[in-house]
Amino acid sequence: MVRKSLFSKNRKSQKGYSTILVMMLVPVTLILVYSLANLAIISRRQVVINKNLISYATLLDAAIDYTNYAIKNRWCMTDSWTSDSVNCDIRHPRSLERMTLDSDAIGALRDIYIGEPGLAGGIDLTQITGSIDANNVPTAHPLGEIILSLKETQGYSNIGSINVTVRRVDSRVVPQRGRETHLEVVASIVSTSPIFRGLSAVSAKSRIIVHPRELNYFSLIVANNMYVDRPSYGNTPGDFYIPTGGAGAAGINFQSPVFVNGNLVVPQDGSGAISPVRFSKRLVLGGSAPGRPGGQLMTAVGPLRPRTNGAPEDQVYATRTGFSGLLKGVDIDGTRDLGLDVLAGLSAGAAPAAGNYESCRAINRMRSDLSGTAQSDLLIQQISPPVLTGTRDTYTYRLALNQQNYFLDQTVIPYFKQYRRRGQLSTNVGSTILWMNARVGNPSPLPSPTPNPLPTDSENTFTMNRDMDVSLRFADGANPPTLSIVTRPVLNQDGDRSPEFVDLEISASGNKSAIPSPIVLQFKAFDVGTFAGRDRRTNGNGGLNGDHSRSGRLRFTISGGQLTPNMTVPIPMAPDYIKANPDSTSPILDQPIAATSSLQSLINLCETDNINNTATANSFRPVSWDTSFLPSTRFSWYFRPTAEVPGGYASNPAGGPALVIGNADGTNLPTATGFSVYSIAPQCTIPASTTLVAGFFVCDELIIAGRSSPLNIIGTFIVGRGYIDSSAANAGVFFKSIYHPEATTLLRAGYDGDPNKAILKTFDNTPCPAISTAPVWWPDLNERDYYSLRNCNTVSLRDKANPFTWTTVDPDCGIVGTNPDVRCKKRATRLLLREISRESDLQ
Amino acid sequence: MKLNNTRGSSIIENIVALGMLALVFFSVISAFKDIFFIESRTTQVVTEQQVLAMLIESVKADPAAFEKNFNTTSTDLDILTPESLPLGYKKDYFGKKSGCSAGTGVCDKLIGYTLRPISNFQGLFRGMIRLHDVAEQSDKYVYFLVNSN
Repeated sequence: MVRKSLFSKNRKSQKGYSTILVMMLVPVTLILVYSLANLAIISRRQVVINKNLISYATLLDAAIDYTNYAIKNRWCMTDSWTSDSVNCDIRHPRSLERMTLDSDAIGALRDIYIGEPGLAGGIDLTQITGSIDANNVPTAHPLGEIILSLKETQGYSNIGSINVTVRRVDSRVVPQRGRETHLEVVASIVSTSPIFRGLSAVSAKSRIIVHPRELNYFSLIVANNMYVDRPSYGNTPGDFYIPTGGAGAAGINFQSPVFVNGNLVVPQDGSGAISPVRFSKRLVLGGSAPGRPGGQLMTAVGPLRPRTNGAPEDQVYATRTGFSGLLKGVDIDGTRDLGLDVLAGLSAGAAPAAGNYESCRAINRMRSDLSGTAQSDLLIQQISPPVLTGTRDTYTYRLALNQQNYFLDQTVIPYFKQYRRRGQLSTNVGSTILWMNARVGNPSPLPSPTPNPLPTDSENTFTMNRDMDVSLRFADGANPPTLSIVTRPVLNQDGDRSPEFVDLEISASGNKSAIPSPIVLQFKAFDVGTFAGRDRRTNGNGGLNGDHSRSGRLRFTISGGQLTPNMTVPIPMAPDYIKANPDSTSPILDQPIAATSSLQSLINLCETDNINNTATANSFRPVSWDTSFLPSTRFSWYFRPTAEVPGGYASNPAGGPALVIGNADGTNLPTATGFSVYSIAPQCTIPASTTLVAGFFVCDELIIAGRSSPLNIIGTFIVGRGYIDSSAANAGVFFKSIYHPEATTLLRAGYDGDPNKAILKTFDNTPCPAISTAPVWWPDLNERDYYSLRNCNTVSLRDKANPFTWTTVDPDCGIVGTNPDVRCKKRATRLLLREISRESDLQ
Repeated sequence: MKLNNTRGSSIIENIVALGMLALVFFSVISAFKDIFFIESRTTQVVTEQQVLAMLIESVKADPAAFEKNFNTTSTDLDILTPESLPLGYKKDYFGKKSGCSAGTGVCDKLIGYTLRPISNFQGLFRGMIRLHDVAEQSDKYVYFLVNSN
């Protein structure tokens, strides 16, 4: 039998066709269904993986963001990765701040904490780890809601823990230029079962650069709130006003970051008010303090809220209706700069115990500048009642110099004749402190050599040291009439000689009636203004002939055989002084220090580090980070006032004349030349004529007057209060910090385009070239080119005022207790974080 | 009985064959139904995840620039009511919910988010996204963290 094909037309038989067909179709169909089902399962599995990726990535990102927040706020971490604020100090083993220290801070802390057991391994840390137990995380933990939401509502019960490691990157391949540190933050989710692809842990890694956010980073720093929502100005302490209006005009443009310690109040959507303000860079808000809310964007009716919950036109500040001036958004410190509150008078300040500081400052000034002792006087007091025994009459006085001046030992050869101790005539007694002229009777010129005994009427000039006895004998014999002039040193409580005092004892003995009368003793102190006995002060330099003098005069008579003072104004008994020069009528400026404490003790104090009890003359020595200079903020910032007023730092507004800021070329107004630095000025006014301001200013009040021409401000203003006139917005005001890209060009050009009026100039004060003579990376840059390169760039302006390199107005430097010197913490309390990369296992 | 020829099938054979075919047919239909359902769900989940990822990533790209809600008197759910969710998506569309009116006229899901300060952690913000399933009237909430800089 010939078998036909199943599909043959000539098939003879079709018996079993259906069965065979079905038997063929079924496996094919089953294979198809199986394949499709498999495809669906794979697809489903991929969806789950995709969903996992997003969920885990969100959690990893949150862990990194939370850690970055903790770094920015310099937290000390617990092992469960929360803030250990109670125990947080530099000794904490999980102090994130110890990972961000620059070399200056490490050096300062090493000096302070040397030998500290908790810091035996070093000040800076290189790695910190922590772990958040996902099964035990509190809801209040910033990550708690995310973790619990995933575990309990989305089926991620396998999440066991989130581990975080912060590592300092110290590698030669990572260049470090300044105060920055490089950190690596690694977050890992550890699962109790494989997450996918057999992985039981997934990680993400972030590389960040952390560096101090110096005050010079900002163009404007406002002590409390800034109002841009109203047409009028207020005058509330701490607040700054920029009126609405001027739409379409050049506007008030902050082209560098701005710091507002409190709130920014912007026009309410639909209010019709239009603000001319544009923040082209970040606005940074501070935080709140009791009674002073802050760290928020506000409107007149309450906290700012978006118009919708995420509609495209309402997502970013720059497209907000009502106020769209926040072009780069808002950062929130969350912490108030309390120093600004004190600066603006919102919080009470307190003057530091600056007595020793002022004295040491005066001592330094006395040593460095003759004018510091120009108003010093030689003072005299009687320290004990006269001793009149009949055979010897004695009067004891104390001579003193005030104004931190003192008797300075010096050799006066060959200018004066000199007497040796115990009255022997001599030409050299070594160091002396006092020139003296004793005129007895009506003297005539002495013959040479000087006779001994002296003629009855005689005049003798000699010098004396601190411990000397000069006896003038007027006759020979058993009981010669003798006038004695004795000096004795004054010792302080430490047994050291007090350099600003010397005791003077005048006595007459023997046949006193034979001593001619009157006796006039003139003397002159050798002080810090004399050299080799000659006064180096001139009329214009120290007031040699002014009403203040280091000279004195005593007059006695012999009456009835007794030595008797005969002076217009009697010498008072201690503790009172009068001027030793009876011709001087001006009041004594200050009393000398009590003899028991003495200037020498103060000099010792000024030159001794009382923390380490070692002698040192260094300025700005480090001080513990526990120290707060907050109450004395105004004192720390009172470093270049418009005019120094004693104690002026304690007043608010500061003492001294108001500052009218002219064009920064030195030709317009005398108060502003080049790149200005003023702190604290009671009021700063920028008049209409000024078009370029360059400098660092701390002003209790800032007023920018109405104008018709644009104003460029380069630098930083810290203001206690103030406003910008509404008409200024039409012409345009442009705030730039020294780091703004245009700052260099503008400061090289000068305010009117004349390079000779430029602020940035080369080493020889000539205009900067448009193109540098050598690139900055040039390996063998010579000193001259280096200097010019630096001076022609705004980074050189950073050195103009150290306080503007602090990170807060809350001072980094100040006076500790009664210490005589200024000390610094060298601590960066505000940080900038720049994330340079983030990578993940889930990418 | 004389067999005239061997062409054709027995009734029993046909019944068995039909039964098997029916079984296969229903199996295929059922499988396809499941497959299409899974595929549909997959598309939904993928779209949902893409939308969520897009929102979160856009905020994280520049957290300082995004508007925050400083209102501290209301809860998240008071703020994120279904009516207030401004975004929506459906097949081949994601955007303002008013845009869903084309075609079927209804969004599959509505979306909105808030960024609000975390109390005691000033400068740190909690992001919350609400997805509202219009058909099922169910909600999903996604949380994320935003550092202000």
